[in-house]
Amino acid sequence: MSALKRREIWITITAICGLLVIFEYFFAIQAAKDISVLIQGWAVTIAGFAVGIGLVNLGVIHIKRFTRRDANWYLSGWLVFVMLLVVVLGLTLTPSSPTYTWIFQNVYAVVGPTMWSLLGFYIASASFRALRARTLEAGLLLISAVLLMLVQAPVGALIPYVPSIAYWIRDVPNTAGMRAIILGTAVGAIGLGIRTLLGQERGYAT
Amino acid sequence: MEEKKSLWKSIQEKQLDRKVIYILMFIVLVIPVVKPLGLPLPISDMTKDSYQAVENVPGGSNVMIAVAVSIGLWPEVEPGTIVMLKHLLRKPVKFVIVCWAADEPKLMEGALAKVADFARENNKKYGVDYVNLGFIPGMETAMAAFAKDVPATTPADMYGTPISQLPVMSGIKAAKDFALVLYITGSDVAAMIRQYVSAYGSKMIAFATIGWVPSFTPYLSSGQLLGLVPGVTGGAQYELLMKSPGAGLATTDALSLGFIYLVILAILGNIMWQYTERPSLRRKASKEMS
Repeated sequence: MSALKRREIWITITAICGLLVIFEYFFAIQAAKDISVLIQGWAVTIAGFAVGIGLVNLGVIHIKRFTRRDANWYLSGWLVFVMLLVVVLGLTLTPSSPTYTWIFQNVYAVVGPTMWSLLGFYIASASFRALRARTLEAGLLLISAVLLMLVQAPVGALIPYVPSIAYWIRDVPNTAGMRAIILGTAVGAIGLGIRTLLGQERGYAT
Repeated sequence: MEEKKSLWKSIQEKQLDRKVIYILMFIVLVIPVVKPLGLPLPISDMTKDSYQAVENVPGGSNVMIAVAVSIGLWPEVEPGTIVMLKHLLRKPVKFVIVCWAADEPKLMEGALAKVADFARENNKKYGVDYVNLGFIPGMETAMAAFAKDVPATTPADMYGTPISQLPVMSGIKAAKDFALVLYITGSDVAAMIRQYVSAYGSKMIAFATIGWVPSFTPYLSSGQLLGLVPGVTGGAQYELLMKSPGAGLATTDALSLGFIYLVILAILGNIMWQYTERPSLRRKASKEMS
């Protein structure tokens, strides 16, 4: 068992898998493709297990909170009850059953968007209270925000000059800034990839 | 006892109660839903390009619909998704749905149920002309694995039917077998661009939440995205192009008024700030200077 704790083993496995997938991307060799498909298939399976681990972890945390009577313990109990109910229904009746579909469409699919919809009201309040032209930069941000909000309103796009100015802001300064971010992120991702393959990332710490 | 202030007095003192803002927002959003105002809706170039990209898919081709949007954001992309499904069902093409997160297979099942009559009218059948392959975990790894080898990554559809028994899947082995990729998303498009457009030269259009539009514009100008259907507005524009009114067009008046209300609030807030808070800030600053 102690040999499995040696970080060199995991670094070597990671480096071999990573290099094989990178090699296959650049060279069209069938054997490399077969190995790459196999490795990515394993990764998909492991990701599936990660979902299960997440479920167990969430369950354990909230069962502990419930049994210890921590703050809002009854909400933890409710969470565990609903989670178990949905899992049991899904496993016994299958997710395509009418009962499971009813719960999904009439509870989950309603509650989720409702939470997001509340943002509209907070944004209205923030528009009045926080969107201030305190400095030149804040003023430019305010003007851009107002123009882009107007152009997002379907009827706002009919106001003379508003679409041309708003689309210019979106297509020129915004695109330039986004390109810089994308390129910077790509260079950072290459660096991160090299560090991971060389075992320099903290994830290897045992 | 605290004196009760009039609304105008509150506005003058820049103390407009949140409740008033919320109630007005609610009224502004509900009125056009109850009584549509019929405000005009111009169609953006990005939506026209998306429509044209679907229209240009040759008969007999396969189309991939990839979905990565959480349930909370689903209402924003649902109108565009429904009308796009109708567009595909009207054409002599097959389509394959694949989901990168756990919520989506049921959401797409619901969307397919909403266009079931349209499918029947066009003589399209599940398993023969379209299929829902369900959720593949792993996000970008799943995208890459599916692009490389479809049967190895998804041996069955979301109901457990082996794909070898689904006629729609015959001839579909990898990303190169799809004439067009439609990406319905509430997050970034970069991973799909990397794994499909850059790696296999796939043609792609996106159906995205409106907040992501500024992040997608570099991919539009580079030609990596052929089109973009932004949020409910894009869905409504697509409905106009398809001449198939739906939930998008029903809510565009509310969207218009909602955005205009936000703009009015921002302007009003700044005017109030100029006349109330700013002079006192200046006085304070000059006091500190002296």
